[in-house]
Amino acid sequence: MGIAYWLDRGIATSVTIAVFVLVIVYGYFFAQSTGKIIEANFSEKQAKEALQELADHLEIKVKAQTRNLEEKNKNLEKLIKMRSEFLDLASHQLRTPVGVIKNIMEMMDDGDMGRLPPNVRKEYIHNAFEKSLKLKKIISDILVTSELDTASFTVNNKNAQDLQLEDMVDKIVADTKFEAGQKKITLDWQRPEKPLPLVVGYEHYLSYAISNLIDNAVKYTPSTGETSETRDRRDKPGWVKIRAEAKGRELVFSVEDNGIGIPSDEIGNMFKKFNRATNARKMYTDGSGLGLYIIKEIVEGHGGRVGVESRLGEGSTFKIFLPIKK
Amino acid sequence: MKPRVLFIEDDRDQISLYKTKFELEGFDFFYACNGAEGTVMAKDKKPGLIFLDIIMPDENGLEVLKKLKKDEDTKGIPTVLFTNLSDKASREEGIKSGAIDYLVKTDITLKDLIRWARENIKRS
Repeated sequence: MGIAYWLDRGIATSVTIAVFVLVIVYGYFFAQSTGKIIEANFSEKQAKEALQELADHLEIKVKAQTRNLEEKNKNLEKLIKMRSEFLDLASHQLRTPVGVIKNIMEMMDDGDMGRLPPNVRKEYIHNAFEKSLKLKKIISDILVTSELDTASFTVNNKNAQDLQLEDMVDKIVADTKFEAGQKKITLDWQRPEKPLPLVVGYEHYLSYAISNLIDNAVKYTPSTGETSETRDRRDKPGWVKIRAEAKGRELVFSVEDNGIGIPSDEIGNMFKKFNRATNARKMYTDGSGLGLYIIKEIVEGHGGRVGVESRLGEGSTFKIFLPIKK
Repeated sequence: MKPRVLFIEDDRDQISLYKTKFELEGFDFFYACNGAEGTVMAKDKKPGLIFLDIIMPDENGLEVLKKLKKDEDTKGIPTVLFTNLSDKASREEGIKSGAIDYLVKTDITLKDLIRWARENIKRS
């Protein structure tokens, strides 16, 4: 074995090693680049899918939002229309008593009053006073209505109180006695002997509802006495009966009168905003037309309900049902 | 002859005041409490000017106006809508239907109303 042999062997080993190394290096890079291609392909596909999904989703989303906006727009238009109808009607109802007061004051100011007989003068001054009271009532009805409309009214237990209905009615009856007396109408509050179960709610609002009902009964029962308004007179004595009792899970408060009653085809509309029965409108041209609407909103806000029975020319019975405190 | 006005108006408190004022100022004053009575009275009394309220039971003033303007006997009588309703639609409809003007009651003093009546009344 000579040098040539060892040389040959060395070269062969080197070549073998070199080839081996080359194969490994190539293989490494091959594997690397293939991996990248696969990876690249994969993430492109994923991105495409995601994009497609996003596009589809976006379309659905835009459609839904457009629909939502359209709905909101319609509601707003409806609200604006309601608002302007409310303002037109409210301003008409407010202007009517203001007009009478203003004209009477102008006649006093101009010295026209002095040219009139004393009884007419007295009647006009009394009229101005009556209209100012009416105006006060219409203003508070409008304010309460807008309060009830803006915050959809419900009793929230945190601020609600336990209420003894009879005590509230006592106060209201005492306040209405004078007006009823002037009209010679018997106001008969049949106060229950045993205390009624409590109800939960807001005294301010429930009192408003109760007093609206009693006021209405007195207002729409004609008088046997001499009043300045001849339309408001008849021979049959007028009465208003007020009752309260517990029935099942409810307190039933009712106000019955023998007044003008409601035409049968109009009973269904009695609790609608600004609605006034035709015979009521003939009796008094002014009135907010909101009284019964307010009562319904307040009572329903307390979880209760309202009811009415009436016969034209014979009288009406209005009822409020309130849930008893659990 | 005294100038003659007709009020078609359902509110008796208002009628009483306008009657007093117009009579103090030398007018002949007639009134009707609804549209049906008002149209009959317009033919019968031949007023030189009609004041017509809009919100009335039974028939609304705008409907009464159309009837007055259709009738040969009454269409020549100047008629003004005299109301506390001040919405644009009623005003436009009123003028289109032949009212000579649209006055909001609370916007005019009695003094100005008398002056306005003297200027606009039809003299026979």
